[in-house]
Amino acid sequence: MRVTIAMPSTGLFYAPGLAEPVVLELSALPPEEAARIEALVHDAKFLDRPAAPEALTRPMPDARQVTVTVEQDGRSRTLHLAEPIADPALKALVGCLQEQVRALREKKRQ
Amino acid sequence: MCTRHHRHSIFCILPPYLLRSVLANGTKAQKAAANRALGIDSTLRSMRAQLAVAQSLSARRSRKLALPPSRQRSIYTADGGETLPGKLVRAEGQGPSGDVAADEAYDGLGHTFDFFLEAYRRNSIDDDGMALDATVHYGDRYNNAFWNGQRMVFGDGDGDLFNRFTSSLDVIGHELGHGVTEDEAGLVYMQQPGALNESLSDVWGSLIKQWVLKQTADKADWIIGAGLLTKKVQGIGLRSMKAPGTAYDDPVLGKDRQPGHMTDYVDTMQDNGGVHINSGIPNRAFTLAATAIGGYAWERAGRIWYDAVRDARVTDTTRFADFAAVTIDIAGRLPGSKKAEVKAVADAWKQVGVPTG
Repeated sequence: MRVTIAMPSTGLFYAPGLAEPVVLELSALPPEEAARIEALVHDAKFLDRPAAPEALTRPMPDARQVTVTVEQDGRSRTLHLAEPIADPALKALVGCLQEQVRALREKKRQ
Repeated sequence: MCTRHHRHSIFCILPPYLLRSVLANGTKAQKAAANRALGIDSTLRSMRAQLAVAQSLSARRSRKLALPPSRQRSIYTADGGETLPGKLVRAEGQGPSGDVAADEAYDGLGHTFDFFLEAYRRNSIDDDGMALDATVHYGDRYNNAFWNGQRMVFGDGDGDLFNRFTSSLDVIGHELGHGVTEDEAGLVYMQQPGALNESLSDVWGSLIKQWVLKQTADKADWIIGAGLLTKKVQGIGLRSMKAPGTAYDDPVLGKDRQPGHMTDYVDTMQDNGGVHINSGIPNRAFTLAATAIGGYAWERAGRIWYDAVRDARVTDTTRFADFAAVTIDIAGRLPGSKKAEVKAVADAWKQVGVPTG
């Protein structure tokens, strides 16, 4: 499974470094982290959701927007989400992915 | 608005799965192009949703019977969760709560209310005595602050990139400023009108800070979010209104991309069409005008910008040039107006490459 997370709107200001897509190849992650992400993808029924956003309303000034893509076994789905994310399963998945991104950034700074 | 069901070739020439493959395996330039293409879709979805719910001017102008102006602040805490409004920690008139973020929000909302009332006789965000609510400690190490149309929401920051978002008075003023703009011009949060919306929030945020510090235009730092970035980050704030594009250059955040002139306007579908990027152009125009006029920026330049955003000619789709023309016109009509002020405003727009007719 491959998961890509990007942030086309980074909030109160536009930071190109935070907007950049991050590709997570689950096969390259520690097994327990990969299993956690896979379980969250499954719980969110990500690949079976319609491609339209869950509920995109008028953009709130300075709110962040997240794009998540999951690819597995020839299937693929992209969801465009605006914060705050109402769906608990999607929120949990995005939260977990953001932790991964945060860890990668810390490595980058080091 | 276009009603034809035409799909632009840029949007459909490459299927999304191929773009994502490029993201994973392409060269740096290919990855950047694929990223831009993927960003288009979410931006267009936002645009459609926004235009559908735009309110009419007459609806926004309707007013209830006005009450005497008075602050009505309520600060809540989400305690690290995302449920709004959360638990009330400090209501109007109560003493400090001991929660630094809650007390900073309380003070910041108070300064913002006082500024608009004393500088422009505006009774709160909607000029109708709207209660000011805020929620602090939103989310887990949440790196943002936003205005949701009803309240301000502040994260604590992750401590790695950002400090708590209440620590910066101009950020508080910026968020509430969105409420003012939404109430008056209703500028759509997209492309040039969105960048103008962002710039106006920066203007109010910076002016509130200057008003509290009693700084003249030449003494102001014109930085938005000074102190918001941690010491680990190579930057002085989120934006420089005076010198757009110079606020940060950091391995994680990247380089500040704000232009200060129309020749460098960034055409992008990221960031709702570059609202936080191209706002650098009108931001610089305001600092140039305010500095040329001199004195306290909120008194003359701020007054011109405030009257402009309330002017009927400024609507939800107003672009930089239209707004510039209105500011020049208003500069010439203000009581006590001087030719030098009109020239200062016109020259400011000229210096950033915005045509004024």
